[in-house]
Amino acid sequence: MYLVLCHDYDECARWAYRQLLAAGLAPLEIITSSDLAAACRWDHRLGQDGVQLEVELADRRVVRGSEVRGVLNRLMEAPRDIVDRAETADREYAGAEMAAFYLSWIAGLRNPINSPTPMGLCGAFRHVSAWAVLAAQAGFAVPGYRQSHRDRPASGYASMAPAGVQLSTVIVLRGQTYGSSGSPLPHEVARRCRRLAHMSGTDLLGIDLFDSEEGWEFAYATPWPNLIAGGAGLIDGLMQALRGEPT
Amino acid sequence: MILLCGIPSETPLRLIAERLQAARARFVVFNQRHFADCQIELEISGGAVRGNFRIDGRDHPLEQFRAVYLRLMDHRCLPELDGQPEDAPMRQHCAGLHETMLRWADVAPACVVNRSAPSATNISKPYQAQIIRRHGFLVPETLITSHPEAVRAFQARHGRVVYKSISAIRSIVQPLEEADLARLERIRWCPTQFQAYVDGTDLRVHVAGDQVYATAVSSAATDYRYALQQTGQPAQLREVELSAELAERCVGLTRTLGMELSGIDLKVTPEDEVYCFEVNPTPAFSYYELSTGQAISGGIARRLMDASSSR
Repeated sequence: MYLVLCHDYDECARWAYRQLLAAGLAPLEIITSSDLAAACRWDHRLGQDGVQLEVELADRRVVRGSEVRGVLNRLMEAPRDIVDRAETADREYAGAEMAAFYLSWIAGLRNPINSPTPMGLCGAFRHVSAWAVLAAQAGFAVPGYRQSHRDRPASGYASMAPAGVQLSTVIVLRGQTYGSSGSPLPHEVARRCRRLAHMSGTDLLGIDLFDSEEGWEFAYATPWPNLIAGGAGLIDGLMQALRGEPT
Repeated sequence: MILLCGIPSETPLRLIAERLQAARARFVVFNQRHFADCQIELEISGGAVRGNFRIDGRDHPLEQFRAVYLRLMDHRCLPELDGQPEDAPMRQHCAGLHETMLRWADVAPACVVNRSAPSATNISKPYQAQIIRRHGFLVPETLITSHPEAVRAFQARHGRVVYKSISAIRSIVQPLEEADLARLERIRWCPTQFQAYVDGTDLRVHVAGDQVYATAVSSAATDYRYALQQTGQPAQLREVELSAELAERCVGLTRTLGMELSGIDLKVTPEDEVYCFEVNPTPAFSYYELSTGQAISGGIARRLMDASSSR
């Protein structure tokens, strides 16, 4: 069994699900955050026999971890439903418990793309300051970054690109690059993209670049990329990766 | 130069500062409670991390700090902010200061005890347990479920069972008893973690760099941290020496998790099996140090001084 885990609103994941289904990846199930929030029964075990999962969904579908061969994991966070139903005083605790639970059971599945991390369920959502350092180490020119006590904490997750510039999205999947709006990516830029994905420990990484006097400059990276930008090539790559074949 | 961040009167920070002072090391303390007198500017250009930290009116270039020890309390709960509304400028200054300092600590070319990403593995105990297990430690048989029948079957199989939080939010480990079984239906709303009780001797192992400090804890309590409440008797602590192999495995696990300092909770069974429960990235080592005389703060201070002088 192959899984696509996603939020209800994730059109990219739904597009990938349809494309993968049409390409013959079977059996393939799409499971949304609403499906997970309404699950009738959870059973997640850890011990001498390894990690196990069994979840029964409200529509009677049952997912057994032992039967899962690959997962396109697009869940950014655990569903809020249980948290919202909790008493006000318990909400912070309930939220932490659900986040911890989801991190564990997804980490226990075979071949997740991407693996969950404590910094994001579908891969690490790094602060732009961390991307600025990593991208420079990967060989990219990077716009200067400044932050101070005067800044709002939430301001560090936006693109570094100057306003109005045209962005190109490159998607790296396990050492292969896809996308870049149809124009061929210079070999050296593709190599930097692959290096950045590798350094960040992310199987599937979307990288936004823009053209400047410095060449292709880094703007932002995300483990939750616009899959549609990867086109048919990315679907072929995902097929191989989910089947555990070299991409 | 070494930077210590937290509240200086808090015991772990105080002990490290005393060690550094005794060794005549150069260090600066950022006292969170003085946030109003502090400012920070971070700049990243071409991958180089620079900036300035004004602490109590004195400027310190960020690049001079080669070792950092973080033991921060939740800045939203600082007493200086009592009664301040959410949008108060003082609160915004405090939040912006802490946020910038933590972002700097995450990318600083320095020894940081500990950065946020490795520390975050502790937000999910079963997630961290999967890493621990891959590192060759036994982990307790664990069930997280929303199904009461599964809990009853788990208890029938394992006998003594405890339940505890899944996340890093502290909870007191409790034995699963008759009164709990009567309210098991409540777990249908939220998956809950149950573990087979492991009998044996509790060991807390602190790793600071390559230094290992092991403390054995004797207590009849299910959770020795709350021994007095649970049994009426405080836990008894004593220094012990680990085998070289086990000590090395603890150092290796700490490195695998990307930590410079860890507090590892182990239990050694009568059959000499070693179970690992969790790895704490911000251990309150002073409880163990003051109970046994082990020089854990000395090991941390040594790690900071080595890093500070090695570049």
